[in-house]
Amino acid sequence: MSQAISKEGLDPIRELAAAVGLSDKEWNHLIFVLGRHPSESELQMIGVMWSEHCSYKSSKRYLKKLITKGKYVLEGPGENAGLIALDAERGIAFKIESHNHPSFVEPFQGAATGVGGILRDIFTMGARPIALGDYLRFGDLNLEKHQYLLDGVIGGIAHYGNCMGIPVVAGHVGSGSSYNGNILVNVFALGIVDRNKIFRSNTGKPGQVVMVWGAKTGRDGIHGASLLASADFESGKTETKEQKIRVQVGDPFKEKVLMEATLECMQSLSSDLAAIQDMGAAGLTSSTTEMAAKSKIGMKIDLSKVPVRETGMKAFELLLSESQERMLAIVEKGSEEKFKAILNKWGCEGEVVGETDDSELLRMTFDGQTVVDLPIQKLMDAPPADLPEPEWPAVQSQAYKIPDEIKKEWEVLEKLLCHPSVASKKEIFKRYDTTVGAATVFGPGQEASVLWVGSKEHPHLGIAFKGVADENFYQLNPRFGAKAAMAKAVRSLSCVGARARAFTDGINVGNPKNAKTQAALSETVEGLNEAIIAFETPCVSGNVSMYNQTVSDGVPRDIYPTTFVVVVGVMDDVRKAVPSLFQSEGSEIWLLEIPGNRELFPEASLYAREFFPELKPSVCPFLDLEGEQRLQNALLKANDLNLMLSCRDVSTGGLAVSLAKACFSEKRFGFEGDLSKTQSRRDQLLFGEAQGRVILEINPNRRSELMKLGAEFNLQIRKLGNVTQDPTFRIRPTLSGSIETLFQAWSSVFK
Amino acid sequence: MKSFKIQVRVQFKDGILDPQAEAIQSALKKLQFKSVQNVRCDKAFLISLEAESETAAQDLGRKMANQLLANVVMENFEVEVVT
Amino acid sequence: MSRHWAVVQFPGSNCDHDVLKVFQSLSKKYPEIEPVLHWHEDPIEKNVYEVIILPGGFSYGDYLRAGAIAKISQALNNLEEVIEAGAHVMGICNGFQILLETRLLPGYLQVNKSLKFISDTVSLKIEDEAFPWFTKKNKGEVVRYPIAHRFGNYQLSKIDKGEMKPVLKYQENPNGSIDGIAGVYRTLGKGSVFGLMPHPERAFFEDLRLTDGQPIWQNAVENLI
Repeated sequence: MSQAISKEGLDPIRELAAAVGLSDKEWNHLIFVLGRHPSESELQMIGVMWSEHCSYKSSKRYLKKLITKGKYVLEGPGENAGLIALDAERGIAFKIESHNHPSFVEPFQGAATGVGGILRDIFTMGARPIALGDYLRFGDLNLEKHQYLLDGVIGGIAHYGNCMGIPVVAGHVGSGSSYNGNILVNVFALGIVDRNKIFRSNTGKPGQVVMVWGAKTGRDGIHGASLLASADFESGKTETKEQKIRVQVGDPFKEKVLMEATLECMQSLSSDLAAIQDMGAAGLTSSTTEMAAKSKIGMKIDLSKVPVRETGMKAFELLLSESQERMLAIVEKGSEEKFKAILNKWGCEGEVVGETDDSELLRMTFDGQTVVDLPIQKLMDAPPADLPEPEWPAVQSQAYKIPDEIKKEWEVLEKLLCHPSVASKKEIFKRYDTTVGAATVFGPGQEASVLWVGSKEHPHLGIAFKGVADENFYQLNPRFGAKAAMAKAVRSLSCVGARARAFTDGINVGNPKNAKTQAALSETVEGLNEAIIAFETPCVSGNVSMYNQTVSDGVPRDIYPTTFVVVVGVMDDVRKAVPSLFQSEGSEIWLLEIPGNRELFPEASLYAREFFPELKPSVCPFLDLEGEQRLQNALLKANDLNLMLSCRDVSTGGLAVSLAKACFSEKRFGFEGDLSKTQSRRDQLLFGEAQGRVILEINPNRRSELMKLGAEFNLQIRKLGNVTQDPTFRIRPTLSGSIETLFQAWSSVFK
Repeated sequence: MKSFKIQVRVQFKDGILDPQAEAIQSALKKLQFKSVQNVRCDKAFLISLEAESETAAQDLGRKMANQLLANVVMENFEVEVVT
Repeated sequence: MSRHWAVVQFPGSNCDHDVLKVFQSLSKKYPEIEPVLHWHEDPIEKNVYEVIILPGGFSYGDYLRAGAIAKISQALNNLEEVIEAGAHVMGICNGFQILLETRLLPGYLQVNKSLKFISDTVSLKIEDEAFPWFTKKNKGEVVRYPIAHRFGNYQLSKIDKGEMKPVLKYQENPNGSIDGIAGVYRTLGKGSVFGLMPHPERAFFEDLRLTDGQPIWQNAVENLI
């Protein structure tokens, strides 16, 4: 260890270390490894490398427990995106990523560059992106600020995705006051890759050439990743000029040509392209350090050769710039001109900036001066952070009296349909091009999204995916939240007829220095693992976003821990994909459910939150992962038998809400059901959110087959009613009204 | 050859529907700018170039507008030498 | 004339591969059709392509005006002569915007009345025949095609009209287009020009459950081959 470091202002480099976010422990570790003081540029780089955003220092100990291996996995977490097998020739690349803090500061550009970043992750692997999904949480949407944020975020995603020509085929918009000071913008992308032409970032070798591709470098987003991603957002302080300046501006046209150029390079120069990485957060710093460290090679970079857009840029600015639409590539010596030719054809820059060697050192010069000389392998990992032990506050099981009062059912139903998490998002999705690519079988609004990816060998092959997070479940019990999210996503895939293969997780939590956040991480991972084992769906990629906090009454409060899981599955024949809206008059509607005890007050349901806000939930709804497996197999078999005319999961809002939504096709069917003979509480039956239930629409003459299926998989079935021509929604004895009224209520929220 | 800076201003012709201007006008009214009578959204291009004379610079600007900067089916343009 | 059917690729085109996929599917049944992806920097000579598609997308990022920069590409340099010699050109969405910029079709496209991008599937009435795309038999038929655009509000002054005829109209006007016009057509020499905002290439494949776009491509095959 080097000599003690003076604390107060005597040493400018020590002050800078604090400014770039290094703790005392980290500073000491750095000095110990280097055996000297770092240069200014080195310190700026280390600050970024050891930031939460790049190092995962506060979540790593849990994330490494996630199960990431399985029979379909071609590439697990750690690369730009995860990869699973689609068929013998092709793979599926996918990942979710967050852009929460930039989007809160500048919603349009924040969300747009989030889309740009995740798409680069996909095509960096060699995959052509074919679909996007957006998973969003806003604060109270009655606040003007959050309407503005919603409009900006949707506009940004639409702007970037539409221009790139990648359809947004799925998404979820939710709201809640825990996000009032910190919205969530998580974007998912998926692409198709030739299994013989997969590219990685860890495959560079000594004696190769390092190139920067794409856009020129400017001063965009200096310190964006490290600072914005860890900023405590205080109300009123969020729109300072400094923060606006740090937000990057995206150019989707530039990215489109960069994507085409990159894919063309990969296609025609595949043996010359040794390794490639997206320049995302902390641009040149993270891409050079990660590629060198992961490839276990050294790198020499001449920063003066990086193509720039602005004059007078300093070395540290080049290192930290987050200018968008750039890539770092390692290519064979002698092939540089061939790459340049393709890049220039598409109007992209392609410049040699350095070379690789066997030194294990990252060395950089600028104007002939050495500015960086770091033993990169030894510095990749931040020293372990000092973190509190995970502790989830015990929920006191309240001795409250279960209200006997059952609210007026029709009013409840109407109100639930108007809730932002349930209401129609059609007007939002109309701003996204959902059909470009001529592959969208099911877009937004279906139980799960389905894409047609037929090939010569498998002409009707399809990919389905579903993203889920119920933050109220996570807040109640993160382990349950994770299991419920996975179960729901897998169930939705089964409803459309696809078998789940793997997933990506977007974890969004509060301050990692809170024991509760540590517990949320730990418990979420445990829950995910239970589900991974049950469904054989490993985690192949993911993202963690920390410091998501809202200040209320002067106190920063963590958001509800919110982990989006996006589960990806495959189906042999998209022509058999099952829709989620009722299809024909006279058909029968059945409930298929996992047996178990549901006879509780509907705690932790939207109904309970809206109508009994004074009751704090302490009990998680029913969930049985082993039963979910049987349900999955039953649904897939039902699909093989062509038994289902339509199928949908019972989720937020419960059975009545799901049945009503199933009627909202253009034909506006009605529903006639009778539950007068059941013994359960009516509100539990209609609005409870027990898991493991789906609604099936079948032709009446196939009833016996459904009975057989129920028996085979040990599932309960019961008839709920019939689809009617008459546009009336009725669940006897007490619930009845016009479908049009419900539809108008459901459609009235997002305009 | 001398250096000039020209401005090419492109605007919708009279009677051409301009939904953006309409939307801005109604938004301004909503903000209680009640005296607003009309809004027009123009585009301005500032171009630095070299030319023999001011007139030549202006001619070049007109050519650019005709060939690219304006769609003369729906837009008019004005060229002005700034410096 | 050869049977080469071309899709012109501009930087920023993003429906080029979708149309190509349609052509490849057609060529399985009609091997005479040879689909070609044509790079915008290469000139198009007369009598090389029988069908030329200007695809949808955001050519040059839609900077300046949608289609304004693509119009000056090499590929479109002699477009008028190429058409007069017999080529049938269809501009879809951004391709329509490009055709209007070339002045080969009259009128202009403004931002949608809602000022927002609109993605939807809409009902359209075929108003007239348009060789080789629509026959007399199609007149009056209603088809559903996807739309996806921000600048699709078609406007036209009377004097512009010339030989153009509207051949596709929205049943419910989504964007404020005059008379609900969604597509316009004219013959030019031995060829023709057709510009439309909706996407018939996204309504072709049975796997996607929307096949109303099949007749337009099928007609072209039957009328030309």
